[in-house]
Amino acid sequence: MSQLLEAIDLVKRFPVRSKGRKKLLHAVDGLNFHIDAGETVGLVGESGCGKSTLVRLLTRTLDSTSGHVRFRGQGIGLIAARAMADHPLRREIQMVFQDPTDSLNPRYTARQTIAEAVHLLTDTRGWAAIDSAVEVAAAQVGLPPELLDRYPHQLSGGQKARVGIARAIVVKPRLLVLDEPTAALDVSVQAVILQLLDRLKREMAMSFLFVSHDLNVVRLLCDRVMVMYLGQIVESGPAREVFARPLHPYTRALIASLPGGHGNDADLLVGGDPQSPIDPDAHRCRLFGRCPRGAERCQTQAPPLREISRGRSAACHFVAPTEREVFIDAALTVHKLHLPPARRAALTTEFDRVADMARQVQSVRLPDDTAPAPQFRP
Amino acid sequence: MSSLPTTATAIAAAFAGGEVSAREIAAAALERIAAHNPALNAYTEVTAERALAEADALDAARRRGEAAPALAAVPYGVKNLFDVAGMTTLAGARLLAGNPPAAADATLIQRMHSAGGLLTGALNMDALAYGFTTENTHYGATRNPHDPTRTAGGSSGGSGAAVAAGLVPIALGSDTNGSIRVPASLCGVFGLKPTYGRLPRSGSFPFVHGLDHLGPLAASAADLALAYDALQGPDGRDPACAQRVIEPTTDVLTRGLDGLRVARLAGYFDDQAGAAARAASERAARALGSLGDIVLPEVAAARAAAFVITAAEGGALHLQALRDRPDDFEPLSRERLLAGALMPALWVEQAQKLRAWFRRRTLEVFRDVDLLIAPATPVTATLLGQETMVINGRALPTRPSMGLLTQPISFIGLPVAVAPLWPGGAALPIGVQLIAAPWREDVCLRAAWALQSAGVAAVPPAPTSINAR
Repeated sequence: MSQLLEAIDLVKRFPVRSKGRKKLLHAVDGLNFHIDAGETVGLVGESGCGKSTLVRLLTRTLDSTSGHVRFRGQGIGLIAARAMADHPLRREIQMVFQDPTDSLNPRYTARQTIAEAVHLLTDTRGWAAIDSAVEVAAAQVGLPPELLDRYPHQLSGGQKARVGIARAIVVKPRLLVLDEPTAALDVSVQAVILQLLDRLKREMAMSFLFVSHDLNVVRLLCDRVMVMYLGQIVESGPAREVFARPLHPYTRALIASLPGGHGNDADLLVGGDPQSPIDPDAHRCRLFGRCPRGAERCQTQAPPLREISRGRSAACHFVAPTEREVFIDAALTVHKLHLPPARRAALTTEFDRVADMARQVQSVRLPDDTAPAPQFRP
Repeated sequence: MSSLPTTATAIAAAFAGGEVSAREIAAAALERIAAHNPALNAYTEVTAERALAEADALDAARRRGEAAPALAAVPYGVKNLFDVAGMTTLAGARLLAGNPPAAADATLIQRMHSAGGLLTGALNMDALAYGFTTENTHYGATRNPHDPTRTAGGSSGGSGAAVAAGLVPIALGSDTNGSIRVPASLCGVFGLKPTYGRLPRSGSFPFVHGLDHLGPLAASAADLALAYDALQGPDGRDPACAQRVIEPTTDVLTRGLDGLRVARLAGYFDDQAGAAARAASERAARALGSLGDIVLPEVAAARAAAFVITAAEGGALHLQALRDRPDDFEPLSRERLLAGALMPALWVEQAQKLRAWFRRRTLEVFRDVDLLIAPATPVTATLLGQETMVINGRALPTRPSMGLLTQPISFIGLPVAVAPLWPGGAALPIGVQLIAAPWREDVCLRAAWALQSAGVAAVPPAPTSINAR
């Protein structure tokens, strides 16, 4: 699959004042990820983790502080948010908002709402052509034609949600971003809308980014999941694998806390307030203080997001890349050593420390004839 | 407590002059240990009978008219990795507690004995000498005499604390990556890590063969030289011992620095040093007439290579026990040893190569300079249990980072004396390393003496009551 969208070191900081001093709120803190063509990606995390800011950066309604967003190979980070309205790319990335009531113009009928998008963002002209596109979209989202001439207050929540989705897909975007698409709906309606989205995903040739704090949405719909915590991605990978075997302590806690899940209480976050997103310590793991596995190293060295196995990444000192795990396990076997899990985790930490040291040694280019010499002699 | 002399030099002179008996000195030392050690946890075993027996033998010899040896009646202690006849050599490790008692004294203890020293006991250390804080899970932490909530440094922490508290004027320690120099710095005493291969290690428990050094810690520069001279000499049992003849330093100690060219190590040694450490290094450089700053190449990589070799060799040494008796290991270092045993050979090979190169490049400096000055520790004593320390705004893990400034020097075997400074009259000391070319311990010791004579370095009178703090 080709990459549709790529974020490189994407950062958004908001200036804030705290106790009269200027500080920076790190809403999105150095994100690197991609969304492939035709892929459905879930972005999960609790409110305040930076999901919504990220969405606004991707849909170009907010300017990033630094970093790049590339869409179909083209940099869109340089398009100022206010210039985006007239930019051809605006059609290609469409958004379905959380609250269908708030996001629909109360003085427009459903037909007018959907038609306006066609008129503004596509080359389709003429009443008949536009209306035809509107009716196709309505059919795709399961909105009966007789409801098209109703105003929002005459529609149910689920019907309004369908209008919002139709408005987005009618312009045939390449990427559909859905911000909590079911959060404002009644539980009974949620399931219906999820089924609709699942069908659209299979029928339409576009990529989806589902932003949700609801893991079930992501589990049902997504090929791949990215877990966000305090402005950073802490884990990503195929949704099925992540749910079956979460690597990051935060992901494990999210999954363990699902009702009816097979959660292990030991995975739950420990007491303690989350760290502040304002001027966070760059050398400290963001989860430290809530993490059940927090260790000395987590306070002094923020774990980078790194690939653990093919397609799976996590940002945790206790999650080791596969090659290293394989190496350590093999060495332990050779030496006939069997370690309990806690010691095994501590060994990885120490092994990493030695590996860091070895890397420092390797960074020095020595003359070819350098060889260990004997000790001083009198 | 009494008007008995406190430095080794003064004790030996008072005994030789007939002013005091060895028994009086021994009894006073044992009394101090009994009074203060419970609060310090510097000693893991006190050899009172032996000290008194050695004292009685000295007193008898004097009555026979025999000349008093150099360290006559000087009480001392030894890090508990030295063999003491009749005692199990612990090396700080419960792992070794079941071993049979040592049949004979370590070579250096034999030499201290011949020089008239009175052995008062064995001193606490980090398990297997792997650590810089003497936080020993099985035998307890040794406390800093200047602030009992803080570390005495390590791994020869008991040695540093015993001398700083005035329990004994001399203690023997070992230094693989800084284990004499770190406690000397944090406890505020003098220390000497001689050239690699100078002092024999026979009869001591090893850690990293190619990096292990033994040496003294002392209450004054003169005491340090006195102890070092008594310890010198060839030895047939340590294959790394260079078999050099004794090159006495006591005679040349007071010569000052005439004719010696001094420089201060900058670059890495400033970057990895906190404000107090840098101030100490600059103060010593001014006092010794430094000609300027020198930057050595790739010091961070040299320190990293020392770390790699230490882990690899230490891990290899203990692999069998790691397999058989993991629960008897110090949890603070067990998995580091294990990681060392498992690492790829390539890493060790590259570290050894870097070592050869770094040694060659550093030795070039001694064509132009006789003495190099650097801080001994990045910061003053940290709190016991403190996990991180901040150096120039960066938070680093305390236990491995305390050796950042000592490791690159011992890595290539250079002789180093540590002199304790008290920047701005601070309550906590910090040491400077006085580094010379191989086999030039005399230069290190002359510099230490010069700093002490100028009032820049000092070992203040022992606290009269540690419990009162």
